[in-house]
Amino acid sequence: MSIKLLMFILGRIALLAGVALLLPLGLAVAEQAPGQAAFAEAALLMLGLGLFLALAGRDHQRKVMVREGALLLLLVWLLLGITGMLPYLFDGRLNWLDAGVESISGFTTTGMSCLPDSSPRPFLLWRSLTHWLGGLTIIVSLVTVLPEIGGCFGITLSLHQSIAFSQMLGRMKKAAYGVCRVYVFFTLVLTALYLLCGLGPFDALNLSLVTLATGGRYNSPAINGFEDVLLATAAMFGMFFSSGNFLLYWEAARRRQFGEIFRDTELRVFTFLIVVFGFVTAWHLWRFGVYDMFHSLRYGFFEVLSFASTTGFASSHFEIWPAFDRYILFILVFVGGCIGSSTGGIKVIRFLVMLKSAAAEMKRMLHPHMIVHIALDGVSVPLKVVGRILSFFFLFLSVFFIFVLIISLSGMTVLESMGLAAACLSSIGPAAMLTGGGDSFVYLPAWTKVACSCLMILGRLEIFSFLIVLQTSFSSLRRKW
Amino acid sequence: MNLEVVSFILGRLSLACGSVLVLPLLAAFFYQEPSIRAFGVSIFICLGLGMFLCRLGRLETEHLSVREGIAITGIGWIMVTFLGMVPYAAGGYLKVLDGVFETISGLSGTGATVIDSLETLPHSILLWRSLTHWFGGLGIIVIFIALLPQFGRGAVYMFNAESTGPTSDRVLPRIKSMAMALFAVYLVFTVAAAAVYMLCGMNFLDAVDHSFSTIATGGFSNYDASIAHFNNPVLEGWIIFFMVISSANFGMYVMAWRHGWHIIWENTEFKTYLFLVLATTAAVTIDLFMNSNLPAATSFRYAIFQTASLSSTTGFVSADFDVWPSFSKLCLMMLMFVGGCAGSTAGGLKVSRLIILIKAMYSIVWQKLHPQMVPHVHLDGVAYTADVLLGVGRFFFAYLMLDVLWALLLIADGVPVLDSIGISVSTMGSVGPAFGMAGPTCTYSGLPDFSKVVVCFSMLLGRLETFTILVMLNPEFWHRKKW
Repeated sequence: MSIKLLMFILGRIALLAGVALLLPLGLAVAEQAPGQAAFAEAALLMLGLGLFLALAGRDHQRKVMVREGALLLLLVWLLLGITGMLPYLFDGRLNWLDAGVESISGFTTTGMSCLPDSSPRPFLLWRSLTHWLGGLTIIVSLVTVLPEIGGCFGITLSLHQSIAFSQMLGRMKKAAYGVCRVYVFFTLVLTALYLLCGLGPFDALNLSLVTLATGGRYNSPAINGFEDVLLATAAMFGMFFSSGNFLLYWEAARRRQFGEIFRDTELRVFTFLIVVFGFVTAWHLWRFGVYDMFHSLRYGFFEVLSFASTTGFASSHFEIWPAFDRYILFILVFVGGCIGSSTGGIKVIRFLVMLKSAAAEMKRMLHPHMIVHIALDGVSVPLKVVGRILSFFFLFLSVFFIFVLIISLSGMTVLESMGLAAACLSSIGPAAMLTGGGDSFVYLPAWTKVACSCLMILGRLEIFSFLIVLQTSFSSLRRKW
Repeated sequence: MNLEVVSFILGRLSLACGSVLVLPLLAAFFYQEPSIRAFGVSIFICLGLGMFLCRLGRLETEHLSVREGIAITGIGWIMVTFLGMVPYAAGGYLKVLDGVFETISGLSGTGATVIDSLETLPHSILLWRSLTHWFGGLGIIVIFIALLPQFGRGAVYMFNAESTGPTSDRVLPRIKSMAMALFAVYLVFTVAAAAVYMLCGMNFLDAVDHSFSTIATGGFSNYDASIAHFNNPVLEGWIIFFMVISSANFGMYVMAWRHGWHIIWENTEFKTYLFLVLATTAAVTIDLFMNSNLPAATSFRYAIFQTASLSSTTGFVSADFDVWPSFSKLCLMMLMFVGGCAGSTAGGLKVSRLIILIKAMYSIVWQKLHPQMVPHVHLDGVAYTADVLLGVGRFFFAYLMLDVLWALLLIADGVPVLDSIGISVSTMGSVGPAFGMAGPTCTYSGLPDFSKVVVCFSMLLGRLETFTILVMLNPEFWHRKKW
């Protein structure tokens, strides 16, 4: 176990967070808004910590091993969680528990919040920034540490397996910079789009930050629940592309073959899902007279995309839709977007592999000695990967169910507990509203808030990394005794 | 696909079904009930169909292949369902759809009923309900193989298509002797249960009917209030005992009979199952005691009975668990999903699959930490091949997806969300009672027709472990051999 490497990387992240804190600080100073002191203190603290850690871990090794990788992932989320809560805490806006949950919910792009939308603008900007940084962290860890460590099962299946993941830091850097550039580029494009739709610069920036991170917690009078069709279209465009595979975008940009993006099976299936479920929902809404035809299509597609991408924008009162439509949205929460994005859920490509695998099982039943193999994009999927994806599916649902049990102890109904657990695990706050809950956690008992934050982080670690940390700590404990 | 063989064996099955119907007919004679005519008509139809199918087909059992085995089992179940519906419909007791629902619920060991007032039905019809449990519980095909002569090597495919659990292994080498041994255990349990129930104060018919539905882990009762009707703690204790022993692997009992009783205590699956039941009982007892104003003893009595009943997928009811706190309800729902042990009469995902899934997960963690390691997943000294592990994972996926699908269809038909999820988990696991509309004090009669059809499919696919039926939907399955 090399502590120095951990310190080095954590130091980098603390520095990044410290720099990010300067943005709301700048805004607060420029507007003479409250919170100047809080942001200044937080930024100083993080920069100091970052410098210290980076210096202490200067001469680190160049290779990430499985154990420290898993621990690193866990520590990164803890560090981010603490960073995020500092401004709220120093300013006295929230107590420490609420601030912590708020910050974790932000960084995991869940978008549950107890910060009122009427808070001073620096705090709103900071909340959007936590979304954005969280999304970035997720995507970067997906292309660097996660595949080798936790096993982000299935990511090698995209892109015709042209990407080799490596444990070497030097190689990781390249992929990380690549997706970072794509991420920033998309943010800028989306901000420009929102500006064109007539939003003010502050709204446009915030909205694009939360759209790209699939966080979804930002509202202002100018947005007005996406009443403007143009704005809604821009948001749908943003949500669609932010639930695609960023690694794929980067590869396509590097090779200058942008057609590749639309030839990708996963993205095609995702599009297909959106279209099918969008039409089913729209038809059902229209059939049961909730809206007229145009509004059914508009709201239906918007919400389907919003839930499938685990963003959670609300353009209508979906919480009072008929049960069938809400159930469809609830299923989509589990599916999520493409692998290699900051969406939550199980991911489309894994579902694809599992469906094909179930079809293969039927073939194997008839021909018990046949060697059936599954192909995706014309490339055969190794049986080992199929087994791991199936295991992941089991693990995901077990964790979901265990947390539903825990949450139900707080006295919620069965459905409300399910909604809240799905919301935290798939990082889409408004999913709790589908089953009659609220999208704020203020009223929950303290221990439920802690459980929810754990669940949010677990969902972001793809769970397996957490199991590895557990296993490592158990075996090291046993060795000590 | 050799349709001649399929037709011949199905004909035999139909004849067998006709002869089983003689039992309720005798009961109808004995009690002087008007249902005589209904059973007479049914027997006539069974014999006629059987004769016709036998004439159509030809017997060459040595040439039975996987496809024919699956086809016989799959179609056999559907055919017997329709034959079993005839007495209800012919006697005017139920509509055709309701009759099909009731029969399939009986055969699959679910115990979901559409009859609102059981006390008004004739005894012979009640006996027939419980008999469908009893023949479906161990499996129509197993009993068929055990009791009828002249099945050659091909019978193994029929046996496998019906057997439950991750692997269809047998403790005895010959299929016929295996089926006989299983049937013997089954018969002994049933007789014992009936005797004990009579000692606890049930009358003869109630004791027989309830022993059928306990050992088959079905759940039909002769009373609307189910077991709560008797309000007898001693009886409840015995029912718990019989429910729990019938959710263990029947092959284990055969082994134990031959090699000593220590086999039972060395069976990991059964121990895990017991642990699950006890742990959940404790959790539910505490939850009921703390949150629902029941005294400790009553909490325990209700909790252990419902836990045993739902985890063995029987579905007997001694208390209205629909009004319990949500934690308890969720615990019960989890048990419904997991079900009993492989090779038992219980439904659900099966405990051995759960163990394998958890072990497979940990083997991945180990492999990540030690990349050179070759991990093995084994249970009771048997190492599972990668094929079996994949099969279990796929089964879990398919099972859960079907649960989601049934719930979606039910919700589309206007059933409330929680009720739909409960019904789909409950009927897929062949349990019976669910929540809300189909709760422990209600019946399925309030469901719309389309939902009833959905639930029928859910019960059938749940009992035959999904892939047996799904594979038959593939047109390629029916192609005749080209050469």
